[in-house]
Amino acid sequence: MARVDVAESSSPPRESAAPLRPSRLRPGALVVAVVVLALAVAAGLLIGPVHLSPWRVLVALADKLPFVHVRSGLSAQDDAILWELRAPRVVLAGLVGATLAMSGASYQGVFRNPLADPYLLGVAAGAGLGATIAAVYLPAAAAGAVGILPAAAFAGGLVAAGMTYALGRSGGPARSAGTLILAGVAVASLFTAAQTFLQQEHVQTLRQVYSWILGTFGTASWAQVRLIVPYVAVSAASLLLHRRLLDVMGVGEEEARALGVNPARVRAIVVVAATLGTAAAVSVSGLIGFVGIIVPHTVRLIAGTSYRRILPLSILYGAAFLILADIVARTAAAPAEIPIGVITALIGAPFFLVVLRASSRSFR
Amino acid sequence: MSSVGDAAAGLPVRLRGVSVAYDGITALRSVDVAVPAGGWLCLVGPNGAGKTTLLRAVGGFASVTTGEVLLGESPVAVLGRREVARLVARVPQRPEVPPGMTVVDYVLLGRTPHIPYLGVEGASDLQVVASVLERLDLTRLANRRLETLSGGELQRAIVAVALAQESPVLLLDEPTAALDLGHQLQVLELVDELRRERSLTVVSAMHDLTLAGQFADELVLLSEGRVVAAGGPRTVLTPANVGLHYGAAVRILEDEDGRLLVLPSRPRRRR
Repeated sequence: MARVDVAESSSPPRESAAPLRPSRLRPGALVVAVVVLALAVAAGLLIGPVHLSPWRVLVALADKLPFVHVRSGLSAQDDAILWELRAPRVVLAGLVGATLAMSGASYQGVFRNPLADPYLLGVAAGAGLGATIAAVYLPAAAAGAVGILPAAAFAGGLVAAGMTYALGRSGGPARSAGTLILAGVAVASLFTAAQTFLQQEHVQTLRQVYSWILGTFGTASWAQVRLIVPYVAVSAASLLLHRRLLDVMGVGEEEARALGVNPARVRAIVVVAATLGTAAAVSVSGLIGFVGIIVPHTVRLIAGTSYRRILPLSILYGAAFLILADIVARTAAAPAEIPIGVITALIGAPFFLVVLRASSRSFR
Repeated sequence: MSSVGDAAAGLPVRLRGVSVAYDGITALRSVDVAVPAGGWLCLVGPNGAGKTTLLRAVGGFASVTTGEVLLGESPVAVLGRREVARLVARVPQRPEVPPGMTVVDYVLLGRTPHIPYLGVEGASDLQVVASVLERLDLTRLANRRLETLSGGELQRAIVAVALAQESPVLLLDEPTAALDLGHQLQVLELVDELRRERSLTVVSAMHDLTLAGQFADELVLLSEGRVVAAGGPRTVLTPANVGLHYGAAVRILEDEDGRLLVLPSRPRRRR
């Protein structure tokens, strides 16, 4: 009687020959994301108060390729608009968007919390305070070519991440999604207050810092791009290497250990890497919220919950998203600029509510 | 990767004078237990007797204060986490099920101890997963999300993760607590078949004494962290033992194959 159908039912031939499809990144999904990013970049280069011919811009881009020498026919002024104003702005927005989205996804995986985001965890505020301190007390170094800003922002971001995690853990045994975010909000308020205080004390030296709180790409330059590229690259490489381990973390602390993984070490490395990227982004763009919520959750909807897809796709769609948001920021109220943090918050806050509602059901 | 833990070889498990304390409370007191390679040992005992703690000790999770746990010849305390994971797989009582994950991705996680730390799975890992899915009749569910599975299907998926680890020792903590009777038997029969096929060493904790007696070679009755009875079902499952340690009156019957049936027996009300 106890001889049950398990053994027998595997013998009749069925569609068992169908190949297994584990969640790897599929080339098709990657191609679509690259195309979307390319379109966003094109829009970013072409849209603005001065009309540039798409064809000439394309030729000018081709001219920058190695071994290609073609004349775009852009006037000197248009050429400067393209290369000194729009291109660095698009590239910077892309780098920052990619970084924030990737960091958000990583925090979500490692804290197993769908609401985690560099902004909501207080990491961005910590990075902002770190950068402000550097700008106030080490103005010479902060203005230097190498730039101490990202390093100071990194230190501030790490302190904030550590505080949020410690507070969130002590808040309750259940480690509910809400507890960590409440801790993050408290830490963010504290650090933002400290930053504002410092700014008030040093109004003269700190003109440009003020715009940080809501974020902007209004002062984007190639120098800023060069400043953050190394940090962003290291951060992205480290996080991408951990993409499969982020999936392992999904089964919980003890099960991860039973599978031979050290969850504390994975968490530490991922938090440090994501904070490094966030700090670099914050040090050039200021505090831009919700990108780390909007992009990874949208990617989840289309590509599933494996970090092997979420991380690379979040990088590409994050870049595209922030380039597009920046277009809105500089054109919606032209000639004035809306801080880009306002745009992302307008989209992100409703999005946050949706995720919050969904998470109170499925995520525990 | 044919180390000590080749699944075909089988691996005995031994506990020598193991004591475990959490926060100053002693959960196990100098426990001696031995399971031969390919054997099935079932831990029974009332709630809080130390069954789960003993399983955790075998998996290297408990803070053992005295004594040692041996996997084959190696003390578990000196092995790294990955090495232990290659030797011991566990089916937890109530695992967290990652929302949105598909069955194949979930089972593939079981290959983690065999995949380089920052690497991804190879063809051989996918082969193992395919054969485990086939064996557990999960192939047709491979691309389903875990939360859409029925209780029995989900339990098979959880067992599949442990089997994909290809570890010679399998720990089961109340593997059937959430299942109805039919699925309980189905899962236990499956474990028994796999144990014979692969000479797995099985250590399980079970509340149902009848099932424990029918599936295990040997039983260990734990009470307040001590081994109070050990041996075959007939030695351990006596009305006296159950009455003393569970505080329950039972009758022990035999079916026509000589297997034991442990039945609660309510005392008469009258008088």
